[in-house]
Amino acid sequence: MKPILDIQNLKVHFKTDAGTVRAVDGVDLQVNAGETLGLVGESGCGKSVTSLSMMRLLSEKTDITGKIFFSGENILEKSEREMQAIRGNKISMIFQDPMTSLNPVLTIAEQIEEVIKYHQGGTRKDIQARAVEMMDLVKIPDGERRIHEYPHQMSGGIRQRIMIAMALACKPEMLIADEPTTALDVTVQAQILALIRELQVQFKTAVLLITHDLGVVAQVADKIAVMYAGQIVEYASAKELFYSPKHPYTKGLLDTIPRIDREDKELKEIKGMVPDLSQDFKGCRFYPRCPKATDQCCRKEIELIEIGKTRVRCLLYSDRS
Amino acid sequence: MILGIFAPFIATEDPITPVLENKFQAGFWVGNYNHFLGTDELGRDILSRIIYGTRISLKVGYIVVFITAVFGTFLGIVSAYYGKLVDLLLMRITDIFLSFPPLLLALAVVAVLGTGLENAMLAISLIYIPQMARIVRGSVLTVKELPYIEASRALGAKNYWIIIGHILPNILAPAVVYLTFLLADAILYTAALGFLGVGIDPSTPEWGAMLSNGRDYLLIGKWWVTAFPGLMIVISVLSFNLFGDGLREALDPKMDL
Amino acid sequence: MDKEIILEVKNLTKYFPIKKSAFSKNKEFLRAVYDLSFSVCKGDTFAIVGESGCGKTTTRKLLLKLLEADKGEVIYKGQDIFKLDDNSMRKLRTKLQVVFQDPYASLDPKWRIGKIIGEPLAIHGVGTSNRRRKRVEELMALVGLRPEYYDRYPHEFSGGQRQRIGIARALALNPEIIIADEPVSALDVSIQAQVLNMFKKLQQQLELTYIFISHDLSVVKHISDRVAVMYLGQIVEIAETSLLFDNPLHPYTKALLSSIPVPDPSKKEELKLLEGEVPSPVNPPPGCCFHTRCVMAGGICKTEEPKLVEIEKGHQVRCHFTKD
Repeated sequence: MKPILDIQNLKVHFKTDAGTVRAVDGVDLQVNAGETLGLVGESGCGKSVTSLSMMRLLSEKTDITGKIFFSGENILEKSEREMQAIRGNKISMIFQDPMTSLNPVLTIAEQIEEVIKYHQGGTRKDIQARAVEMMDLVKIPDGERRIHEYPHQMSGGIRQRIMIAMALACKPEMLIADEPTTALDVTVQAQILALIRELQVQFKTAVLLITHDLGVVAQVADKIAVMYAGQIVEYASAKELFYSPKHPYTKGLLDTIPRIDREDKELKEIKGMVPDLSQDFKGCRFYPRCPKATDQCCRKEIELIEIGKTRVRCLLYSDRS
Repeated sequence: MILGIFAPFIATEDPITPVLENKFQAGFWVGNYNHFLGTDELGRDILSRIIYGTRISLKVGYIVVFITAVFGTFLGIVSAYYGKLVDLLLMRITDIFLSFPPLLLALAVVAVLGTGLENAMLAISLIYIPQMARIVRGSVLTVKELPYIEASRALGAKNYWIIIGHILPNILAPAVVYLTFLLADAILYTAALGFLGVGIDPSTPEWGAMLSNGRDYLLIGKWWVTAFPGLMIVISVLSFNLFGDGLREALDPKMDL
Repeated sequence: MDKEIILEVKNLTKYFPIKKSAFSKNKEFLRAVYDLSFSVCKGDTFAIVGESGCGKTTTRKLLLKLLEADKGEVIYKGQDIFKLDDNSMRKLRTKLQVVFQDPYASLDPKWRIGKIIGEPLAIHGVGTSNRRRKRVEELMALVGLRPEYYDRYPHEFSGGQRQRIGIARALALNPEIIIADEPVSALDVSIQAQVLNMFKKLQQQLELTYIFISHDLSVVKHISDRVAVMYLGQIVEIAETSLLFDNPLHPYTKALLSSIPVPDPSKKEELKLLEGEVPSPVNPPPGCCFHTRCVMAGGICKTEEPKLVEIEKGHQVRCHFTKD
């Protein structure tokens, strides 16, 4: 079964006054139809840039190399017109802050209908009915009435549901969710995550969930990719990643988060800070912070090694591939 | 960008006394290098007069800016910081001033106080103080809500400490940009008042007055009497505006607001 | 284990008036905090937990007397802070300090960090400028900042470092109580641990008492001794940390705990969903504030306000139905 999304050796470089920022420097990942891939990492690791490049939402001046195959076609080679037909239709995206993602001067109805009208057309009545259907689908109570309200009249949770409604209105094959619940309260987050799971099953949409929250990703993802400093450092099934983490960064992350299901005396720290992406790296980017680092680690570029179904970018496993 | 920075003139030392024998001489374009831009109806060298005029315009400009800055900032801060009633009152008053067409306002003030340079400066300041107060008030309102202000207060800081130590430095950037534009405008208004004959007494070399006087002589072909003062006004206003633009660009990335 | 009570809050209440329009005589009130009572023991970490709109921020401002209370008292060292005059309050502020959530906006971007950390000393006129500088360097060392950073500006530092600067500033006057308002929420996960560990270390070293406000229950479980859960301006449950997490009694607390996604893929149990949304604090529901979303709600819940009742030692709940 061919994956619906196949990213091969993606590199995204920004040229700035301070030098070239290698925001993404070697990302390979695949998502199968109906599957959820969690892309996990802290701020500055390149996860958002990866998703934006998938939607070709980065400025033309960005230096993007590699291949992004969606349904067999390389998205990076498509024209802007072709992309406009894909966005919102075949691939949809929802963002972190629902307040700024919705147009404050248009009613909800106008915004949902816009998506449907642009990609699918139909009579006015049809479109309006479909929009109301979407409101019900995302479980917004009293949808038929509330659809005529404005974004500011609604809470963050409801607005995020509207974003989801707009994203799924045309039954896309893939949904990219960039930190969809980070700005929401934890009880609302639970509601939204459950909703995304439900709809995914219903529409058989593949989901790329981007987050920094390991708890969220454990609950929702089938496969997980961990990013650090612009590269994927570990890629495994959810169970494999949590029960048998391989990369020292992954292990560090798992040890460093306070957990509600464990008693911890002191939280283990990952010493140091996230590196500056405009520097020239030699070898492993995690080297300065890695408890298992050796001299070999900073000599040359480390490749992604496959161990069974898992991939790791670490010399500790170079003998196992 | 910053390449619009036209260095402001610094007046030089030429004299301005009327020299009647040299009436209406044409300037460099007929080969007269003695009087580079020609002379006016009273024989005075136009170039010198323009240079002297610079002094006047700039003097007015800087003083106006200073007065406006001080009062405008003060009012803006008081209004925004102490809020409620004070704010309401001051804002209504500024609204009244803002509702007048500026030139009319200046004329009204001059009509009441009489002509003369000092009154002209006061009049122009009066136009701008309300605007400045508004702008400062806006900045202060934004800054006031920021956590570091609350932090200071929680540390026990008194109001004056917060205003002078924290609020003032953080509203400086937009205020300074506004003031450069103000300088350009002030020069324009000085010229306008001079043109209308209310700013200064007629013999002083002020650009607007020169512009006005010279009009009469256009018809007899002595165009330079008007043209050069006019050109001077345009150049100086433009250069200050460009400077302000450049300044704003330069300050923008560093402005936190 | 009788610890000395350092701060006591009694029946704290705060309403914010909202005018419908500039001319309307009809004022609506936003009930931000209502009947808040709790006590904090010296050396403890007392956590206040709740989601947005529950009143945590208002509580913090009240505790710092940045807002006046409509009813109730905050008693520190035997005195109600709302009855103190300005001067006495200023003196008291040296003992009660605050660390903010946003490491980017809580430091004046135009001030160098040496000056920022030393601000409390300057405000209260402590020592000469030399002595102050020394003290600031001491504080910087305490939080792990290198002394050569004294003259740098906030924007030159990372989020975690800025948070340390904020903490150093809070410690300048040797406070007894520090109110930390979501101090790690804006930080990366790998930095959170560093800052939390530092909090703990400082607490032991300096005998500090913390009032820790957060929405993140995992963090709270790790760092606090006692927890109060807030909903719509009221405390609905309050207990020792281990007790609260092992035996949550209030339906909201239970829902809150079960909503937290656990980083364990085999525990993909259905997150017990709390339906609906938080009602507006402008018109809080009559009776129990939680009844509109409560699975256990009965008739009495709609009419009568439940009181905070002690169910087991140190464990209080505000609910009509906790007779377990």
